[in-house]
Amino acid sequence: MSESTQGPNMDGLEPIDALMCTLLEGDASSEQKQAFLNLVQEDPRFAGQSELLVRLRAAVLGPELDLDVLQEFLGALSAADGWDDFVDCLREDADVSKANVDGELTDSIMAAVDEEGLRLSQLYDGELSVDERQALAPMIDGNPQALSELSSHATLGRLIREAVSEHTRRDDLSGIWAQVAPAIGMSDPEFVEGWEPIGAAIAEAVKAHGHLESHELESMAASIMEEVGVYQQRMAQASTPAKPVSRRWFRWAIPTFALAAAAAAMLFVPLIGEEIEGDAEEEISIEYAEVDEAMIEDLEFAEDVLVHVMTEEDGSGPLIIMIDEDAVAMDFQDDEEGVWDTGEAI
Amino acid sequence: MSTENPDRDEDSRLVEQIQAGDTGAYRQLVEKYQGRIYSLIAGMVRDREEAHDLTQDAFVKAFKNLDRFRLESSFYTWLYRIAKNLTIDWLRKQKRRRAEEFDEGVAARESGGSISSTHLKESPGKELERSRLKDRIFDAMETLTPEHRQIILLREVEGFSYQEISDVMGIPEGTVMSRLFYARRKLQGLLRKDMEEAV
Repeated sequence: MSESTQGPNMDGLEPIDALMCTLLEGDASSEQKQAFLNLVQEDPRFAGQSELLVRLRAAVLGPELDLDVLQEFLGALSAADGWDDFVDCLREDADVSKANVDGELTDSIMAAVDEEGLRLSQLYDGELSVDERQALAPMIDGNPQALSELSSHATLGRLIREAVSEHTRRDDLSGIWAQVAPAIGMSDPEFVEGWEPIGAAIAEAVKAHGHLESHELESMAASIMEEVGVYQQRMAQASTPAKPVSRRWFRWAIPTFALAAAAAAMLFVPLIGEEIEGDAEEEISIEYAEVDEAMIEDLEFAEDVLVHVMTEEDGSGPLIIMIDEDAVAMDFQDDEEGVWDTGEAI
Repeated sequence: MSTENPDRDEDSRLVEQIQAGDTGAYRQLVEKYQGRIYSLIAGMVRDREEAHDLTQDAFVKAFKNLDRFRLESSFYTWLYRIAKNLTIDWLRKQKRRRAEEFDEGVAARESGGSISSTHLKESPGKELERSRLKDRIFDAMETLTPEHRQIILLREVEGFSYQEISDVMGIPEGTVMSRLFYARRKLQGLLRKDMEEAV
């Protein structure tokens, strides 16, 4: 067969497949169509399928390719070497030319020619019924190839999960809301009703503490304000205490506490829900909670910074926010309604 | 999917709040799903900045179309469908652009110009090997069509059932099954060596 008969870009494909792709592209000349039909006629895979060949001839020579006939024809092809290239060729044609052929055709053909593989894929996905699993069991039992295929599915899944996790693990998504909010008509994404003065004070305090870039500062303030919002919700939900409040000790290492206290001294401490008058300029005072009457929530931030948000458990006490750059993040214990403890007792 | 799913009830409650005018409630939905949506988009488009932008676009578009959301449906499924369409549109535009760039590159080479090479960020030992493996996996994934890539991500990363994938992508379960099968076969062929080493 000459190059011109085969059509362009068909390296690695059987002539019959290459011509099929050319047909699907809609670029086949009359000569190529005839060459294709001749090859099919001579192909032993179609021996005894005279009816299919008649319909295929009509489909190929007709004004539009009949996809039902085409699918039947493709189904009669075996999954021989080079099949993947052929499938890709079909898929590319479907995508580029926007022809009626799409991926479903090639996928269903692939599935039809490897039914066993398809069943194993379904089994691995937990998509077979009990009866179907039982029917499949004898095929798998003592069949190293089937077991190897199942193992291969598991390995592939693990590699994909690890790759996606590796790809996204360092990504900071804290800015998503800040970008979405203005686009949906919210002028200030960090706005939390009643807490306006705190954001500015936090920003000032963190700035004084140093070591953070401006975008980190904004992001940290957003995280803190969010935590404050969550805290408010929890307080609202916990307005009727049904059981005694357990004593909760601050458990930090002493150097950490010293740093935290220093950081706290930079911050102002308004009383929740009572003392906020809405004026950031107003004079502020520092009040300390009793250590066994407060709860702490920690925000992990950046790599070596931990932010502690503390308040009294009954919600009426002061709020203290501390920036701790040397703390080691420890396992959180969600031991009671989402309240977290950290570290060692002092 | 059960109608008694507490997660779904919570989402519906938030959507109702937003529809009633409490725009701020949308933040909870954004922050609840941004990680999952971002991971899936990043798995599709590879470029993190683009994934970030597409994630934002998906949330904005979802918000603007919230009046079309039916409360009995799953918000995540609905949101994911929006993200999927945006991502596929983006990928198609990229594909066209890449084809044009490739043509320009060939033209440049033929006329004595040069084509820039890919830069590999060097880092020591294991980190480098992990990064390379990730690249090979993403390279292999990029040989799949966007639809096949999405299906394998929904299955392997999100752990969706065929039924859930069918709902999200709006295709029959049989198509999910055969596409997933094809995608696996193709990736296993391309990653054979890595898979042997991983075992």
